[in-house]
Amino acid sequence: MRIRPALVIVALATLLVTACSQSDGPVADTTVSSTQVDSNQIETPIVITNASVPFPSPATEPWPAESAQRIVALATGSGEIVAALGGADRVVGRDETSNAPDISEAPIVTSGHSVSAEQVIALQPDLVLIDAATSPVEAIDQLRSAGINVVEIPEAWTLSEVAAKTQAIGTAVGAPESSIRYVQELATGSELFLSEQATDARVAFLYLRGTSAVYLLGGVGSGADSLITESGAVDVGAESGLTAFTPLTAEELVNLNPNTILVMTKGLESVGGADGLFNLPGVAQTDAAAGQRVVAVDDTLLLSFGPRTSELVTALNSAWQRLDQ
Amino acid sequence: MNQQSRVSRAIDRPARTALFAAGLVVILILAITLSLFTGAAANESVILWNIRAPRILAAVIVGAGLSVAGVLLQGALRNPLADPALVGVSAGAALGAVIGAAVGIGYNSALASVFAIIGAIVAMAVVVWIARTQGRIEVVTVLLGGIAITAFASALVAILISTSDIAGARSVSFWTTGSFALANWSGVIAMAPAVVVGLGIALWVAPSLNVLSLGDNAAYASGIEVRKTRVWALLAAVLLTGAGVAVVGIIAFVGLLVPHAVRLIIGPAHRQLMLVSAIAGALVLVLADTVARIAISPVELPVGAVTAIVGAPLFLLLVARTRSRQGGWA
Repeated sequence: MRIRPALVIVALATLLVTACSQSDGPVADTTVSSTQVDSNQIETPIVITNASVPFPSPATEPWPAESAQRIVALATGSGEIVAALGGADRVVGRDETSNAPDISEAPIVTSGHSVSAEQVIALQPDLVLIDAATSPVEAIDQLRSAGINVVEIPEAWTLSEVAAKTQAIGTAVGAPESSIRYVQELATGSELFLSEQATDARVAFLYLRGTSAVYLLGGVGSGADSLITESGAVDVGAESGLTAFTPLTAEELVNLNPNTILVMTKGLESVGGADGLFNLPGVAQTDAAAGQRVVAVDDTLLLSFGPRTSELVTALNSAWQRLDQ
Repeated sequence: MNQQSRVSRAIDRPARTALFAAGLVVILILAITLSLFTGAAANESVILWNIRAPRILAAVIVGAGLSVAGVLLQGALRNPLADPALVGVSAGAALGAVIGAAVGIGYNSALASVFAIIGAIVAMAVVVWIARTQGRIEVVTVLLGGIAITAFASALVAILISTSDIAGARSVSFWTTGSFALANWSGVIAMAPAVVVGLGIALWVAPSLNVLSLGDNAAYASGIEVRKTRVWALLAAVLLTGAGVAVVGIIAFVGLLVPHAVRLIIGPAHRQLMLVSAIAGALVLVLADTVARIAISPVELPVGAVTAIVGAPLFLLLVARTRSRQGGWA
């Protein structure tokens, strides 16, 4: 009789592995639990959703006739600033970092983090806003050679840089000066409030989907460091001088010993919620795990640095306050 | 040369093998101790027990598993260049684990290992099916099939991870270069049974592999059931590889090079080769992971990058040697 090796392998292995899985079934799901990330839950995790930090009402002054008519906003969060300046109806395309409800109709013209030149050109923009993070360079060159006005906006990774970013965007699109000042004031509004709200939070921002290392720690210049500092807490990565998004060993995280973990919502979901997070090697041994202290912020909200950032800093501060109690 | 061969004849082969194995065990124990007490964090029991110990144990199990899988594949396919990662088995296992995650099975669980093993079996079956010709399995076709399967499975892994939030802390590069960073106790427990069973089958099938190395016809003549031997050997290789990949990703070159290095010293008899390769493989990965963990601390290196940096040049040497022995390939 002729037996097909492949079939025999399949049959035997299925038998064997079924036997194995039955014998050690109970150990199966230390990281699997699908903890619902839900703001109604008790304090673990504290979730700051897109909706919980509302967009400010936009500036109302009409734009001059010579201002940009069809804008594609590819610089981080630039579409939200254009909307706050009162130009939401002029945003015809965007990337996934701009999520104001007024511009949600505009198509997203990036895939992953790559700009599709073809999709941008098809929108017939008269202005494309980019920043240093916009890629690939080839696509941007194609836009320029198609005769489109491409303007590079300075990146903002701290609250104080939002003013300069707003000014640059406002100038590029041709918005009224008064509207620019209005948005700048929105961005810096929380500073007074914060000076009186002390907290004991020592925070590590963990980007949970990165390289083969477990943890990308947002250190100096990650953006999260300024949000953490300006919300009155200590960024443990920046404190020890680690550069942005360092692929950290589990042991170094234990050394830094944060008492609070800051994550993006989808990152937290991807490791199985707070339970999964506090079971990861390294995280499990920190004070944050002992106190079950984790704050999750909507992915598109956290690092967009725009008109809502000031409110976000306030929301972060009250999250630390709730954890301190 | 004469001097050397007289010396080696003075100690007979079994004694030499035992001596070599004992030496390796001592070095392995030293390496484990070194690794256990070296790291960024203080040597507190919680660090040693909850972070380093499961990591080191995973390196021991995966290193042993991959090396014995290499012996099995090289013997069963009669192919000196066979390795779980090169014949597509590892990529199949990675795809299985990621598919498991896509349907809600947590990583480092027994069920994830089952999914990985099934993925590895499918990959192995496809490669063998493509490469078989009149009861023989073609050397070059196995490797080409392995390249195709690896490309296909890796592409599916990348697509699944990019289009959903199932990644966990496991990114595409986790799967392609491997890491022990996520190995915890449940991961160790999830992979251990399959590796133990695989090792058992491997040792049982070893004598038949010795006969098989004389060629299929000679093996038939000696009363060995060639097909059955091959199936059991490949099954064992799949068990030894799949469950480990589910926990630590794809680590290449260990399964290829460790058996060759060991064979140079103790000779080709399969049972001894398996046992000593298991110890040597464990040693290699414990050392590689220690380097990955502390070389440029606090940055964690992918362990697969460490093994490939060392392994790829050695692989080239091996290809050159094999090629010149076989008088060149078409």
